[in-house]
Amino acid sequence: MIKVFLIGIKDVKIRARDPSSFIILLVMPLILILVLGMVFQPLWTSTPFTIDIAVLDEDNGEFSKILLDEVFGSEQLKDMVKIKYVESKEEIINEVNKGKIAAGVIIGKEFSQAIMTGEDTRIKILADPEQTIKAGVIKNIVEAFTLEVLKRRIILGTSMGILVAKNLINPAEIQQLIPVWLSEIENMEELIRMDKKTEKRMDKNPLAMEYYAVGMGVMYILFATNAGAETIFQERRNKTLERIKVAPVSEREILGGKLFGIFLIALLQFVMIVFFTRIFYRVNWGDSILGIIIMIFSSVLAFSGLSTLLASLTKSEEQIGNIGPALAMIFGFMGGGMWPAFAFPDWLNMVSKFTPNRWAIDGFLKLMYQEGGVVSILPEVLVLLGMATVFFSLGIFRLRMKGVKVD
Amino acid sequence: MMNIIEVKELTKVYEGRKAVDSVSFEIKKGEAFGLLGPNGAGKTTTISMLSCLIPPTSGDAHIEGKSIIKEPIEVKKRIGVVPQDIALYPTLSARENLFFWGEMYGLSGRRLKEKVDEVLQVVGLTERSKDRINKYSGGMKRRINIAVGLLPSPKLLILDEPTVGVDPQSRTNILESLRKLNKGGLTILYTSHYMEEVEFLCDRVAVMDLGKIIAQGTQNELRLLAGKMDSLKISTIDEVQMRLVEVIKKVSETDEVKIADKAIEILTLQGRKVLPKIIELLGNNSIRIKSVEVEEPNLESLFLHLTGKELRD
Ligand SMILES: Nc1ncnc2c1ncn2[C@@H]1O[C@H](COP(=O)(O)OP(=O)(O)O)[C@@H](O)[C@H]1O
Ligand SMILES: [Mg+2]
Repeated sequence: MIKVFLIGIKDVKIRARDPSSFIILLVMPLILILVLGMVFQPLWTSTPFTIDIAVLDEDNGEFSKILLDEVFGSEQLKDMVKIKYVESKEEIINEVNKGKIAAGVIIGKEFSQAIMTGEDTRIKILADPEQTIKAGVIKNIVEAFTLEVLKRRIILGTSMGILVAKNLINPAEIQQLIPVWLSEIENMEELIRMDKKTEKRMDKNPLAMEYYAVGMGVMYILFATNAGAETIFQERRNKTLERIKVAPVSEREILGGKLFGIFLIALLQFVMIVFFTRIFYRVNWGDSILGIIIMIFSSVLAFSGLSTLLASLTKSEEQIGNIGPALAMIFGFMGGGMWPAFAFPDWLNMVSKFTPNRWAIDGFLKLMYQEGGVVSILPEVLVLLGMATVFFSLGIFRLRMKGVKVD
Repeated sequence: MMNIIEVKELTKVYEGRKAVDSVSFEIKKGEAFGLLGPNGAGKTTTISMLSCLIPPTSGDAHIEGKSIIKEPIEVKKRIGVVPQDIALYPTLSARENLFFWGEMYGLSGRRLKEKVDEVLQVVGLTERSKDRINKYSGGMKRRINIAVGLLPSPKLLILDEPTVGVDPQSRTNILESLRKLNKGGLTILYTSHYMEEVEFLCDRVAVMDLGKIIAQGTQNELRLLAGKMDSLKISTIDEVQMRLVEVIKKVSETDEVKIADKAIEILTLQGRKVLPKIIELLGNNSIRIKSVEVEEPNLESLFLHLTGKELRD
């Protein structure tokens, strides 16, 4: 077993010595990330993250004002949530259908009244199914708002009952006081803070640099694994393969060692890219260290499998040297390395799901821009590991058929 | 004496053609055994089978009693192999190469380090051991190639034309260190198409051609096989008359005499004894001599004798 590691480590050592692979596998992607990040940054920031909503305020009461002016109009949200006031529900449906707004908010006629009298009431939200994230944000905010208001209302209701009973306050004044009290409670800050998760994600415009660190980084894993797979042919050409076979090393250990080498080369390369972009490009790969580690391992495994399969399907160093980079580019672009997959037309979006790149990129982006942590990347990890299994099985099967034989 | 290796009717068929055809031989402990044959004779194929790289079509061989077919790992543990081609990682240093190959033979830690130092000493490259292989000359690469074969402290060292493409000085160096190792007790199977190398190094020799062993024995036994004949080649300034043929035959006690106007070629059992008589005879007939060449039988002439071909192409 130890020979598997020794062979793999030897391959890494040889690769590390080779200045051209240092340039191709490390310098190139880092330059590409930098250049793409800087060139395309304006494109990414010129469309700041905003949520367009339409509001039908049939209530026009104290509470709808609080929601619209002090919640949506707060410092934190006013630049992000763009409100268009409309006159009818039809108008909202129309806008939603056209995809012009992420959500429509309908505040019913007796909303404020109902709150004051303690009746059951609701704010209706119509969401654009295509913009679930944005609509979700609005829904969260509105729900949090109503919940908070109702909670306060119940507390006030009880305390007022006591005040009236003790004759400390005139029941007639209460009607005017309630909204004042409610609006004065320091809950707005909290209300918005409650939505911090969403806020964090929205607040941070995806930076071009970060996107390309992921996209190009993932694309270049395949370059690295291909370079590793090439060494299978190199060993044959150098006759060192024969020499290993003449030593007391089993066929299994040799193949295992070569595959481990492929994995190790790519792992080191990708980890270095992550570190470098983190430190020098200030790319935030997310808070979940465990998540990042899992994503790195499963991505590198999937691409190692792919390169193994590629090595089993090609006949020479030259062939894999030609096909490898082409495949890496095609998968890279198709999988969303150049341009985000959600901007793809539907068919391409579908097709991209057949590349490991797409799943790797999605997984990393989740860790960077969402709060779900390790659990949220489960689907991506499973797909990547599934791909790795399929690729490795086919590749190993074919390599063994071809035989690492010299006969 | 114990046989380290016993090869029995080893055969390898490639596309219906026998590259190795029922080859059998034994090597005793401490012997240096030569496998001599021209390019394409089947030497490498034989060695590849012995080192468990390719399976034989039929036949078997045992190294210290372990079958190359049934117990390849056991066989591999007992032999050191120096392949015909330089099989090293060019961008790793000699030392790094040796460490890696030592590890492949299961060495580690201090034993590995000691062994690496030792074989570097043997091939005389201790000083340059930190240099990368691709900075080495052909001869130095060859020497490291051999050093790898020595790493596992093998019971049998198999070398496949280890001096190909090496300058004469390195070649002498290599052969001398191999001889020293052999005198120190290492059993060697040496393959070559250079007769001189085999004559220099090997106690016993098998001559191979077209997949078959055509002669086998000690160097002296093989000389006998060649007919013990020495060849005398005399070129003259004056023409040699055909009438002298019978006289020369009588003097040199042989029928193998050829005369071509200014040259005489004689194959005789005792060249050195015959030569003065011939010179005297020629002098008596006023034939002036330009040059004399005496060739005693060697493996080259044996090969010629057995196959009608030159060993070298
Ligand atoms: N893998 C192979 N496939 C087909 N023929 C082969 C193969 N290897 C060697 N041969 C043939 O077998 C014969 C012996 O080759 P080889 O053992 O390399 O000879 P030598 O080492 O004595 O020069 C040659 O005719 C060669 O062409
Ligand atoms: Mg050969």
